[in-house]
Amino acid sequence: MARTKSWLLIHILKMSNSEISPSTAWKQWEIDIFRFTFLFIILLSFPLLDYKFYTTLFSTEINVRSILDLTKYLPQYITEIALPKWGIGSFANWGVSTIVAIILATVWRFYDKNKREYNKLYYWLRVIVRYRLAIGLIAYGFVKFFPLQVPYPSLSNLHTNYGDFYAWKIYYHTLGIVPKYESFLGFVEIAASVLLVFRKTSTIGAGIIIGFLGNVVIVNFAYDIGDHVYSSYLLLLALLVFAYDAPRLYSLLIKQQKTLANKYIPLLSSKTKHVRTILKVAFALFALTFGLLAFRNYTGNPYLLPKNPGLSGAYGFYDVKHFVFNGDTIPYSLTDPNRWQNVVFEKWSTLSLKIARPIKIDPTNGDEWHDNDLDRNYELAGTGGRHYFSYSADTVNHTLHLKNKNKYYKAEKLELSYSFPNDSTIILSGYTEKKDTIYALLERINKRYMLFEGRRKPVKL
Amino acid sequence: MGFRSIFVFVVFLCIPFDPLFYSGLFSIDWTSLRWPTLAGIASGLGSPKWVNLNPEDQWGLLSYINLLISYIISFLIAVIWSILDKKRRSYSTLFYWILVIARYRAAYGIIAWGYKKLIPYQMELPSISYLNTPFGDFRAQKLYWQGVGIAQHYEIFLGFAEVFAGILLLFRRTTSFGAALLFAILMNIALANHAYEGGVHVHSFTFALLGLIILWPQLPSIYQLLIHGHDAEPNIYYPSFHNNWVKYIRYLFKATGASVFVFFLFYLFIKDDLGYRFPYEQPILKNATGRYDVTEFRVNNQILPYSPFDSVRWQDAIFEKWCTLTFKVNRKQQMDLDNQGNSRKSIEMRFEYAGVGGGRHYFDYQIDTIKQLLYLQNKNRAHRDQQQILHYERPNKDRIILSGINEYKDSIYVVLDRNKHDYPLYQNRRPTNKIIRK
Repeated sequence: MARTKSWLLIHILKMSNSEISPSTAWKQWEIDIFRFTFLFIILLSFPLLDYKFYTTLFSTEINVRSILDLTKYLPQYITEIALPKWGIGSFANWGVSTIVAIILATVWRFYDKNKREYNKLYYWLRVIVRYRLAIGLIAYGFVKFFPLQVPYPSLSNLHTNYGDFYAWKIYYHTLGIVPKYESFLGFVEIAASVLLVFRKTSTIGAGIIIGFLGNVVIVNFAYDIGDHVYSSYLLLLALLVFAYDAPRLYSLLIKQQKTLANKYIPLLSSKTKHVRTILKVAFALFALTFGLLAFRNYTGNPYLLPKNPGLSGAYGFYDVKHFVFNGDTIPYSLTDPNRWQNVVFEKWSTLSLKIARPIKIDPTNGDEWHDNDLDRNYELAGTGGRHYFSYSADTVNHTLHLKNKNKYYKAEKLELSYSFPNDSTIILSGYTEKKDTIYALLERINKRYMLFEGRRKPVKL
Repeated sequence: MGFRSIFVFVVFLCIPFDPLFYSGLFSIDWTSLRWPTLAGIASGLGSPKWVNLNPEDQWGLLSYINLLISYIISFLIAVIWSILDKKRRSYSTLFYWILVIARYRAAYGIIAWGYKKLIPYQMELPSISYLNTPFGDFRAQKLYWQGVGIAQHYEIFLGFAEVFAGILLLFRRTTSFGAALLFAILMNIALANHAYEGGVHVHSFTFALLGLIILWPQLPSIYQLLIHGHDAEPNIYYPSFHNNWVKYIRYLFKATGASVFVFFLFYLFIKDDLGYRFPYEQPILKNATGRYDVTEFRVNNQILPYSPFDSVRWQDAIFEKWCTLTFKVNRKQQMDLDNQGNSRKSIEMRFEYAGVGGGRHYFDYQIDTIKQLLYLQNKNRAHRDQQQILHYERPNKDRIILSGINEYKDSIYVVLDRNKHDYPLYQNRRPTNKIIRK
C-alpha cells in the first residue's frame, strides 16, 4: 500500500506559504473532461487496431524519409484514401476517435464513480503527449535543419513562370531559396522538442511551438499543402501540454496576483524512475540517429532530388538554336507544338523541355520516398510550364534514353544521340516513341538571375 | 544603472528626434488624409540616425549601428545620472511610465503595420506580368512578399496576429502576452528580412527589442513559477491614481490614442479601396486585360520574326488591370533596388517592376479614347526617356493592333492575339481560396 501511495503525486508545502494547498479533489466536470481527453488522445495517437502499421514498421527500410513517415503516424480507422483530401471530411478519424472516446468515457464514469482525481494518470498522459510531440518535432526539425524537406528550386523550376506553379509549390520554393532560414526554422523545432522532454521546461517548449505550429496549420490550409491533419494534431498536443500551466500563467500575468506553483511532483518509485531514464535515453538515441541520417542524406543525395548525376559538363540552360522535326526545320516559335523552345540539363539525370503543348500537372506533392530517379517527382510535382524527362546516358555510344517523368505521359520516350562540338554547344538527334525524328542544336545561355543578383548593388539585367 | 540606461534607451527609440518628423507633422493636409500618412506616424519608431549608412552597409550587422550607438549613449547618460542621484534605490514610478511609453509606441506601431495585411494591401495578388515571369527572375524579397500575396487569407491572418499583439499591449493586464507575441513575431520578421533582403530588419528588430524590454521584468517570476516550481509574485508596480484628475487624464489619453491610432486609422484603411501598389483608379484600355501573343511585328514596315534574342521585337504583351502595358524583349535595363513609390501617380508606383529582371519592360500609359491613342512611358526610373505613342485598333475582342512610334522613334506595327492561358496557380484550389479583393 505504501508503495502505491508513493506513486501519487506528492504535494509539497512550503513553510512560508500560509495558504494551504488547493484541494486535491477535482470538480466533476474536470474529471469528465479528463477521461474524455485521455481516451481521445490515446485513440488518436496509438496504432491500436492498425495492424498495417506494424507490418510497415518491421518491413520498412531504414532511411530518413521512412522514419519521418513513421513519426507522422496517425491511426486510420477510416483509411486515408477513402477520405476527402480537403475540408472537414479529412478529419474523419478525429470524429471516430471523439465518438469512441465519449462512449468509453461514459462507461468509465459508470465503473469508476468514486474517483476524485486523476493526478497520476494526468501526469502520465502528459508524459505521452510530451514525448509524442517531441518525436514529431525533432523529425521535422532535422529535415529542415538540414534542408531536405524543402530543397532549393531546380534550374528548370527557376525557368518556370510564377503562374505555372501550384500555390503549395510557390510556398515551398519561397522557403527553398533561403536554406539558412529553413535551418533556423528547423532549429526552433529541435529546441522546442528538447524543452518538451524535460518536465520543468515543457511549458516553455509548448508555448514556443504553439506559435510555430499555429502558423504551420494556417499555412497548410492557405496554400493547399496537404499536411493540415497532422500539423493540427501536433498543435493539439502542444495546446494540451501548455494547458497544464496556463491557469498559473493567467493568474501571474493577467490577474497579476501571487501565484502558487504546481505542488504536485511525481514521486516515482525506483522502478518508474528507470522508465523515465529509459525514455529520455531512448529519445536522445532516436534524435541522434535521426539527426545523423538526415545529415547523411543531405550531404549524400537528398531524398526529394534524383540521385544519379547528370551528363557530365551538360548542366545549364540552353537555347534551341536550330531545330529539325521529321526533316523540316522549324524556326523559333512560341506556339508550335513540336518546336523545342529551350532545354535545361539539371545537375542530376533530368532534362526538361519547354514546348508549346498543354501539360497535365502531376497533382501529388512529390514528398514520398522513391529509390528510382524516374519516380522522384518533386521537381515536377505541382509544376507546369516544362516537360520533364529522366534519362540514362550511355557514355560509350553517346546516347541518351529519356522517359517522361510525368505519370500522365509515361509513354513518351526519346532516344537521342549527343555530341559536344564545343563547351557550350550540344547536338541532340534521334527519334521519339512515335518515330518522329528530331535534331536540336543547343547553345548554353549564361543567364544572370535576379534571384542571385539580389538588391545590394546596382545591376543591369 | 540598468534601469537608468534602459530608460534613456526607450526614450531614444520611442520619441522622434528627427526635426523632419515634426515639420512633416505640421505639413500634413488633414483634409485629404489617407492611411499611409497616419500609419507612417504610428509605426515610425526607431533609433535616431547618429550616422548615415552607405547603401552597401544596410544589410549586414553594421546596419544595427545606430541602435548600438543609442544604447552606448544611454549608458553614458546613465552613468552621469547615477553619480548625480546616488541615493535613489528605486524608480518604480518612472519605470512604470517608461514602460507605458514603450507599450503604446509599440502597440500603435504594430497595429498600423498589421492593418496593412489585415486589409490586404501590403501584398496584393500577383500582376499578370508576374504570373508570366520565371521564378529565377525575381529577387528574393519579391518572392517573399508575393508568396504571401498569393494567399490573401493567410495575409489577413498575419495582419490579425500583429494587430492582436498590439491590442494586448494596450491593456495593462494583457501586456505580458502582447509583449511575448510581439517579440516572437517581429524577431521572425527580422530574421526573414535578413534571409530575403527585405530591408526592414532593423525596424522589425526594434519592435522585437521593445517587446523584450516590456516582458523583461516578468521573466524572473515566470522562471521561478514554471521552472523552479516556486510560488511567484508578479513584478508589477502601478502608481496609485488617487487624484481624480490624474485618473481622468489617463482615460482621456487612452481614449484619444485608441480613437486615432486604432479606430480612425482602421476607418481610413477600409475607406480606401485602392491600396498603394497599383494605380487602379486611372483610366485603362477597357476589356483588354490579359496576356497576348505577338502574331505579327513590323519595324519600319519590315516584318521581324520571333526570336528570343531580338532586342526590339516583342515576345509577348500584357495589359494589366491598371494602366500598365508590359512586353518582353531581350534588352537589359537598370534594376530598381528600392521597393517604394508611395504616390498615387501611376508612373511613380514602382512596386510592379522593382526587382524583376528577365527582360520584361513595364510601360505606364495614358489613354485617349477618342483618338484611340496610348501615350506610353517606361516606368523604370532609369529609362523614363523611353516613350511611345501607339494607336490602337480592336478588330475583335481578342485582337489588338497597335501602330505608331516606339521608344526608338521607329514606326512599329504590332498584332496582338489574346492567349487564354489557364494559370495552374489558380487551378486546383479549394473554393475558399478564391480571392477576396478585385
